[in-house]
Amino acid sequence: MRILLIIIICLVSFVGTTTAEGTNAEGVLSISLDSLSEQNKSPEVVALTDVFKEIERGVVTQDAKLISKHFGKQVFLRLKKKEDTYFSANQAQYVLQNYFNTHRIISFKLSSMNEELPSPYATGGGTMQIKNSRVLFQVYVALTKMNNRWVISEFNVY
Amino acid sequence: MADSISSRFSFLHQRRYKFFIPFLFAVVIIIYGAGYVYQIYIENNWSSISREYEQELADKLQSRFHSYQQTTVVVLERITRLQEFTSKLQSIDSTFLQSIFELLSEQTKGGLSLELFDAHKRMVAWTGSYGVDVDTANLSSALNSIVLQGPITSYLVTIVPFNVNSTQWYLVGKQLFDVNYPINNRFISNDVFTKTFTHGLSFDVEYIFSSAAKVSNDEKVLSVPMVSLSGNNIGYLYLQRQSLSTYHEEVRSNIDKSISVTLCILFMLLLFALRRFAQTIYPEIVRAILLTVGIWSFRYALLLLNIPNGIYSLTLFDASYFASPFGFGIAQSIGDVCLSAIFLLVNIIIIVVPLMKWLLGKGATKLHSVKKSSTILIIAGCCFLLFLCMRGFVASVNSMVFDSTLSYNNPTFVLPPMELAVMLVSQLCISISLALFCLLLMLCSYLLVSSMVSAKYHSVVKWIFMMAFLIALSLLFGAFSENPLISQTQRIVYVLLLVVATQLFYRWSKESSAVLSFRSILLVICVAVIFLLPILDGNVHDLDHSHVELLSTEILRPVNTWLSVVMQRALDELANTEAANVLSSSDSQAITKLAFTQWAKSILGREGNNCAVVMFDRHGNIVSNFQIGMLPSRLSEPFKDISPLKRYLDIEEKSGSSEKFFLGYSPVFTADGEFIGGVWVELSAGKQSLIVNDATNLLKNYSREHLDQHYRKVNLSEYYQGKLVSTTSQSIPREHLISTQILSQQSSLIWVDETIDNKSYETLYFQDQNTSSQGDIWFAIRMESLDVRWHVYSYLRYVLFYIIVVLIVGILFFIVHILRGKKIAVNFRIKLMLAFMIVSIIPVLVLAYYNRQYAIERNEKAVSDHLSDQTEIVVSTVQQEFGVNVPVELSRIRNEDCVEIANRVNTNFNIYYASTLQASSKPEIFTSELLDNRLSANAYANVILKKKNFYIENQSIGKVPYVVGYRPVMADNGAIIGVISVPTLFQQTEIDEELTNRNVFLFGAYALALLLAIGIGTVFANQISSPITQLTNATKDIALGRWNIHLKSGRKDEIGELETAFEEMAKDLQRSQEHMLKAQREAAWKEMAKQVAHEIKNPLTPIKLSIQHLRRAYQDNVKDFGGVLQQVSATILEQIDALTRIASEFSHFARMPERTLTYCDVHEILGEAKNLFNQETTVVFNKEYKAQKSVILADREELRRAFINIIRNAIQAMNVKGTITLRTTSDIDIIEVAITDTGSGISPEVLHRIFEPNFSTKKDGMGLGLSIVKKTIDDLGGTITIESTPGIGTTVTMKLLLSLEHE
Repeated sequence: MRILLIIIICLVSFVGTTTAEGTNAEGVLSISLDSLSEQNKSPEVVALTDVFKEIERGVVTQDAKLISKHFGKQVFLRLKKKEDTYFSANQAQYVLQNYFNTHRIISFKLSSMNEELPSPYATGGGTMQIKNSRVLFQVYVALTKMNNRWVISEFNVY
Repeated sequence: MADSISSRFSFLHQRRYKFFIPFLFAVVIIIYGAGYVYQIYIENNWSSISREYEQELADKLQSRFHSYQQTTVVVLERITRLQEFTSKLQSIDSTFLQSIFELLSEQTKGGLSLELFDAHKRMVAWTGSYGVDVDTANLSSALNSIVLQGPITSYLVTIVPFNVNSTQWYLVGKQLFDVNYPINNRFISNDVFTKTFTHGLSFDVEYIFSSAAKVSNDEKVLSVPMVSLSGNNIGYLYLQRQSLSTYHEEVRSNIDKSISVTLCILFMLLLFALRRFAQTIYPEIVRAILLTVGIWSFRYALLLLNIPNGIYSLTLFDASYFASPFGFGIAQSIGDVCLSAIFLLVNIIIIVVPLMKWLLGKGATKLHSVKKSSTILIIAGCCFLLFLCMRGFVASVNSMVFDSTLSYNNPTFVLPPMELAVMLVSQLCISISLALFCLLLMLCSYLLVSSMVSAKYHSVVKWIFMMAFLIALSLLFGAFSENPLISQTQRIVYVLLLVVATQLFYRWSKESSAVLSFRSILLVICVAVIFLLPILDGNVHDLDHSHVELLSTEILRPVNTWLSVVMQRALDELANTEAANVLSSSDSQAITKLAFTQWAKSILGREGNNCAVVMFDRHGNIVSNFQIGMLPSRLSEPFKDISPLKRYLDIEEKSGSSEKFFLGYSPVFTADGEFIGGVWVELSAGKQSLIVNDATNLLKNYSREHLDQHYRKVNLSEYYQGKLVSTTSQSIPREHLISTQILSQQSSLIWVDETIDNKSYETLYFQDQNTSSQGDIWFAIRMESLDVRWHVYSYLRYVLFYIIVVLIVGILFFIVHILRGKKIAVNFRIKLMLAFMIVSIIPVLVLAYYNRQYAIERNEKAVSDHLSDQTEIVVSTVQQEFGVNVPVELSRIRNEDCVEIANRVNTNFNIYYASTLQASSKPEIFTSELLDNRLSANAYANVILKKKNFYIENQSIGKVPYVVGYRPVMADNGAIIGVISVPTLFQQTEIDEELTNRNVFLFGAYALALLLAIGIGTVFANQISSPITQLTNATKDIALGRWNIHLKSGRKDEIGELETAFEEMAKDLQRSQEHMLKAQREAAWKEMAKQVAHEIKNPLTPIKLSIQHLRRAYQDNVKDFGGVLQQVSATILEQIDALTRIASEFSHFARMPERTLTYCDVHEILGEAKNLFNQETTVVFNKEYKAQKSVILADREELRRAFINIIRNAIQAMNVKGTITLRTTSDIDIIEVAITDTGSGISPEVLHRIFEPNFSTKKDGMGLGLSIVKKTIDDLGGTITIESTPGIGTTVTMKLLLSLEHE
């Protein structure tokens, strides 16, 4: 009986692990930014890559909080046919979350990253669903250094 | 206990709770169930449902289209039937055309353009915009309609043929059908074009109106045929078919909405139920906590249910205006913050008002008994809480300014736009809540201070002591917890303000019968506004700084990041298949406008940068070009150095300028891969364009250009090694240097207040740390410093807004009160004050109105004169330049020539040849169809037909009104060969600035006058009303038996005489009353003697008879004499007892022992009286002691006897079984005691006699009990009343004067 119980627990754990792996957004990210992480990089660039990875995960999972935690004091937010100005970090989080509520992200990948200092940026693209139709979208994210931390100065969906 | 609980919940038996709560629960379940069933039904019958849905949609669209056409037809046919119109067409004379032009202008409205064609199909007159070309082949003898699609706009064209004297005429109406306009800025947006066919449709629709239109092959697209007035199929509307999943979503969304609304009503009912329940809860603090939990639970429930935003989408609930993470979402939009602010205000009122009542009543006594050490600690705690609240408030205002995109700093408005107005109201609500809470804390502190300081000191000493204490604590608080948002001085000023306000509040609450009287409410609002405005103004000022700092980051931003992405994207979008289709078509109009339409739909249009777009055909010929803010460099040799088949991208730096240009080229291929042409793009990456932008703002989207909206004049200067290199300002001298002090600073952003050439600036210096510049380049952004007038203006317009808000709320409150059948008592002083205000305000307003009208007229005259001069200069320059004297020469003028002349004379203008645009210095406005290529009908009629030398007309684009001046270009022979127009469209910023300056001046002056009028009015009202108030109070004193009145104000006018007369009258009254009382006493004694005699007689008779009986028995030697003696003596003793009782009762009634007046607690005495009846187990006593204050000055024993008497009567009336409720309530100086029984009640016939001596409803009663009670209460200066309903019960209510001295 005890052995049977152990087997069941093992099976459940295994199924749980595989399911978690299957749905983990990190899995998607590891593919999209794989090429970037393989290169020899300075700690500065590694930090940058981490920020971009988290932004990508934020877009994929439609979690504005993941992105907004990297917002600077004020961020220039441009959302396709929507808001288009500087927002405070607090406000930008809600604006972005509202955008995600009406625009369902089907897929997204940051395809290129420009690590040129002092203004690194990344661009990427994906598909989103708005009501009945699917549309392509592009994202441009620019970072800037503030208090020894890389923060988002501009987030464009175009 | 069980009865008590059940009575607390007895309100639930009311229909609204008993019926509605279960009903609403049932509704939720039914909606949910029905929705579920309906969704299954949809899945099973989707094909038929979708068919029906599409048919319904098609019918709806067709009917909409038909009525859209009919609206135009009705107008056109009405015009053709006009007698005046037809008579003019019958007699064609010299004034014929002028009259027709005027008539058409009068008749057109609602954006309808009219054109009149004669029998030869030549247009003879028109009005409104030209729009698209009408093919004269469509002019036939039958009523007809067509939709003409242009690249930017589409028009519904309706043709009404008619005959006048057998001559055929055609009246054509052009109604805007749709605007394919991608520009969305503060001037132009698609929302402006609300009178289009597509406006208001809840879905996107595409359309083709031509013979080529046919049913779409795409299964996902629904094609709806459109029928003209002649019955022909003229095109199709195409829309996406609804899928099952989206239909499901729609149904689900509607179900969710219905459930949300039902739940919201349910929660609201529960909140009301909670409020009713809370009324039975004591102490007050528990009730306040319970209601607070209820209120905020309801607020969060609204948030979870997404009400009201989920039901009706409002812009107020859009996070793009404001959003803050405060409170887990209760401030995530303006609407949310407003709702939360109202909830906060209600909550604070619920907490503060009862606590204030308690403090001003019973609490004061309790606070006196607090130990000194604890008192100091409580005061310190109150102050700490006060400072924390202030801090929270300042942080909330800061968030409302900085976490928002609202234009707080826009000086052009006097009354704010809707979103800002709602935000300002929210801030006021929060500020009032803060003020109320602070007043409570201060009141508590003051009472504690009073208990500490000896009573012999004057109250002023106590206030000063408290002020000193608070300032010390404030300094201590500031030292330990420094806050950048509120300075030490600011906090101390607020504390002083609060002390003054609390003093007034305390005094007024004592004077008035309610805690929140009318003037107390006004005081709270004033304190709230005084709290709010300096903080708000300070934050708005900081916002200007923040904008300038943002501008500095924009200026320092390297150009080759985002713009390179923009260029790549622009080339992709400009060279798409849509461009290829147009280039390969033969539609010359579409090809000519291709550069603009592609620009507008591309990222370039969305970004709004200065740029140029040039489209080429496959041979390298320019087929279309569009530029905004710059001229393209590659117009002559497009394919020089580049391959026409390859994409090209480069950055070019202009020599002698820091400006950079992105240059790009992309070939255009058809879907088959055939090379069809190319597109050349130039994009300016200039820094200065961020501040002074050459591009026409009308054509710019919202973008970084928000940075333009500083509202304060901003200029940019560039320095190299400390020397000025370039500047956008005329006022900065060329030799200006940056001080070495600034150059030596390490900080990246340096704010400096400086004066240059007698002008004060707030300047931000920052360094370009780009490696290539080696730190030698510095920038300075200067804002002109604001003078006092601007601050006054800024404050006063907020004050004006808040006055309006308070007035509106006051009026609403007044109306609600009236509707509920209540009367609003407005005292004489307030009426007088209002009368003074109205009398003073009306002349000021009238004067302001006339002054404003005069200013507007003067402004219009100035604009007219200015335009007259400018048109004259332009006409003479054009004639000098080109020697224009024959039409042929005018027709040679090109846009480039106009731009050159415009730069020279500093005026933008347009030239019309005949009635059509020939050239313009701003051609992009015409390319984008924002302005009409055809000369305005009114201008044509006035300048060409009436030959006026100068004509001025008001026009508008979207929300932008502007004025245009027209002047004819005359040939040498005097013939008009063209018309020059100069619109003020490009000078709108200067005009706005002028208007703002005028507002600042006028508003400041009038607001000051109004404030003075209000202030002086208030003083006069007080002066006049104060003796009358004194007289009123004196009258009240007399009514209460207080005769000691002194009204001597020392005045020698009629009021003084009245006061003297009043005092004499009071003395006379006192004397009369004494006489009267004496007479009454004598009469009463006589009556009493009669009663005593009568009552004594009754027992004496049986005594006499008994003694006679005893004597006879003795004389007769009766056998059982012992028995007789026993019986007779018993009777005599019984009668003697009766006599004793009579004597005792009369003694109580008439004499009463000498009173010993002490401070006694009514609740305690009531409790003692009730305890005497504890043995009556079948009687339930309910205690409802709600009185805040209960101490009175009375004879304790006497009062106790009175209560015992009433309770005994109640028990007897219930036959010793039932419920007696002891209820107390209090006002400022009165306590009300009500004793209610559930007995048999008293009939109305005898109720009025119940207090008469010798009247009783009981068989064995003397009828003196209630008389004694009444006398007791009367002697205490109180009143007693009795209400009874036979079969239900009786309530005896006593009102007693509270002892205010005891506080």
